[in-house]
Amino acid sequence: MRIANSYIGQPIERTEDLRFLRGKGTYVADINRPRQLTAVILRSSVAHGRLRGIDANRALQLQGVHRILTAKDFDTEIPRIALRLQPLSDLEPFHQPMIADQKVRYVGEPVAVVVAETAAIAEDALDYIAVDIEPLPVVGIARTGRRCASL
Amino acid sequence: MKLPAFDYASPASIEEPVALLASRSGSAKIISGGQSLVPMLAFRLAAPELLVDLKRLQGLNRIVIAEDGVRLGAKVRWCEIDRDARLQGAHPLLVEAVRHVAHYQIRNRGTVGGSLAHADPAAEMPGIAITCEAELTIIGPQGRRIDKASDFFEGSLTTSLAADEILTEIKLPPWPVGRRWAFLEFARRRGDFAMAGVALFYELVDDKIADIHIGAIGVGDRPLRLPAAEAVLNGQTLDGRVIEAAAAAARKSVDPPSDIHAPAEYRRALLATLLARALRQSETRP
Amino acid sequence: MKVEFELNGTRVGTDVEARTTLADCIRDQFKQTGTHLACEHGVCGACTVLMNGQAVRSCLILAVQAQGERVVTVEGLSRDKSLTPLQTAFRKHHALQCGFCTPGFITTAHALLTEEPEADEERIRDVLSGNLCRCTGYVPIIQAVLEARSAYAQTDDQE
Repeated sequence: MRIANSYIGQPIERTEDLRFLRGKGTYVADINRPRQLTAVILRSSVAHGRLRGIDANRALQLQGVHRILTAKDFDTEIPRIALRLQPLSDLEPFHQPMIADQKVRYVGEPVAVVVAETAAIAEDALDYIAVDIEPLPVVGIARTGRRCASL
Repeated sequence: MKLPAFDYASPASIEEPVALLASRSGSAKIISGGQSLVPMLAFRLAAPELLVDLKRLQGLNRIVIAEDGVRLGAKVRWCEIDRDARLQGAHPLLVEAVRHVAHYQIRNRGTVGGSLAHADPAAEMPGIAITCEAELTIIGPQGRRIDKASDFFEGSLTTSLAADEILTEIKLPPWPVGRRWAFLEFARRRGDFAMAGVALFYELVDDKIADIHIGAIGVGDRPLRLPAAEAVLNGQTLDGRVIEAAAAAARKSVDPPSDIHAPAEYRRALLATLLARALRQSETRP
Repeated sequence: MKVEFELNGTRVGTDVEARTTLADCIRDQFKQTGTHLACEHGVCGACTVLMNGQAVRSCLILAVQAQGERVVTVEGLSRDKSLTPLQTAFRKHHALQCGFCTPGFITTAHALLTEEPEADEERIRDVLSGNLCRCTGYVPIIQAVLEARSAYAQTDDQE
C-alpha cells in the first residue's frame, strides 16, 4: 500500500517564524529577570604564557561588581571542554580547560569572569584587573609546529 | 560591547560647544552622527570625559550651491547629499563618492563634518576634500579660520583641529558642466573601508587632458593627491599607453602601510589598477 | 539623564546613563527585545530600527540622542493577529532560519520599500548589504523582499 506523503517535497511554513518575524523570539540575551547578573570574560591577549597571578582587588571595588572568578575559585581540577562530536581518547591531552589555570595557550583564552549587575559595569571592571603573564615561545607557523616537541 | 561612561551635553548655540570643549582640556569630543565615534567607544579605543552633541545647533546642515562652489554644513548627512537632486549635476563626483560610504543605515546618520574630523585615511569624504582642493571652516575660542584640505589632514585620524575647535563647513570649488570625472574604490566586502580608492577629474582642452586632479585614499596615512601620475597625464590624449604610464607612476609614488588587511605591495598594485580603470571610466563621464 | 521619545507610536520616557545606547534602552528599559545586538559596533545590522522613518543602527545611537524623535522597531511593524505582507513573504521564501538577523532585515527592507517600492534586485542587494545573515545565504531574503514590493506599491501610507 502506498501512502501519499503530504510533507516531503512540499514547502512547509514554519510555526516559529510567527515569533521570529515579529521580534517575539526569546534569545539568551533577551532573558531579563529581576536581580539578574551578567558575566563578562577577561581574555588573554597573549598566545602562550605562564599565568603568574591575577589581581582583581580594584575591580571588585567597582559599584555593581559582585564576583570575579578565576581558576583559583575552583576546588577541583579545572574541567576540560570535551569534544562532543567525536570523543577520541587520543585528543584528550589537548582538551582546553574552561578557564586558564597555570598557563594560557591561545589569544582569547578565558582568564577571569566578572559577574556584575550590568554588562557595562562588568566591562568597566575588565580594565581594573591586573594579569601577570610570563610570555613563553609561540609556534605561529604550522611547519614549525610539526617539527616541535610539545611546548 | 558596552560604552565607557561619559558626561553628555547638548548645547543650543555654537558658542557653547566651543566653551565646553575648551573647559575639558582635550577630554571632550563632539558627537554628531556618531557613526565613527560610537564604534570607537564600543571598542574602548577612546574614552572622552564629555560628549558634546551638535544635535540642537541650527544652521549647520545646509547644502548651498552657488557660483563660488558647493558648501556643505558639517551636520549634512550622507543621505541628504544622495537625495539632493541639484547635487547630481552640481557635483557628481561628490555624490558618487558618498554612495560608497559604509552602508545604507550608516548613511542615514553619518555626517560630512564627522568624517572629515575623524580623518580615517581610507574614508571617502577626506579623499574628495583633497582631490577637489576644498576649504574647511573651523570655529574655536579665537573665532573662525579657514584651512585648506591639504593642510587640514595631518595624519591617520589626525587633523589640524585643536581640542577646542569645531569644523562647521566644507566648501568645494565650483564644478563646470561637462567636466570629466571618475570615482572607484575597492573593498573586500561592499561597505567595508576601502583598501584603496581613486577620485579624479580633468578638463579637456583640444582633446588633451588639462589640470587633472587625482586623489587616492587608503594608500597612506591621509588622503593624497598623486602629482606624479598627474604630471604624466597633463597635456596628453587619453590612450592605453598614457593610462599605463600614469598607473605605473602612481604605483611608484605611494608608500602604503602593510596591515592585517593588505601588504603594501598589494595596495600599490590595487591603486594602479583602480587608476587605470578610473581613467577609462572618465571617458564616459559626465 | 531623562530622555523622551516616541516608541512604536507611544510617547515614552525614561532615565538612562549618557552611555546607554538606543538599542540597550529599547531592549532593557522598554523590554522590546525584538531589536537584537550582535556586533555592537555597527557592521551587522541586527540592531536596525527606524528613526523618523529611516533605517538606522540603534547600537550606534545614544538613547539621549533619540530625544524627541520617532522610533519604530520590528514590534511596531508587526500586527497582533496576522503577518504583514513583508513578513508573509519572508515566511514563504524561508528567508529566516534562526531568526536572529530577521528583525534587522525586516526594518531595513521596510524602510527601503516604503521609499522605493520599485527597487530592483541590484538596489535591494546594495541596501541589504549592511545586514549580515549566517543561516540563509541571503538568496531567499532577496526573493522575499522582491515579492513584497507589490504590497508597498499599492499603499501610500506605511509606517
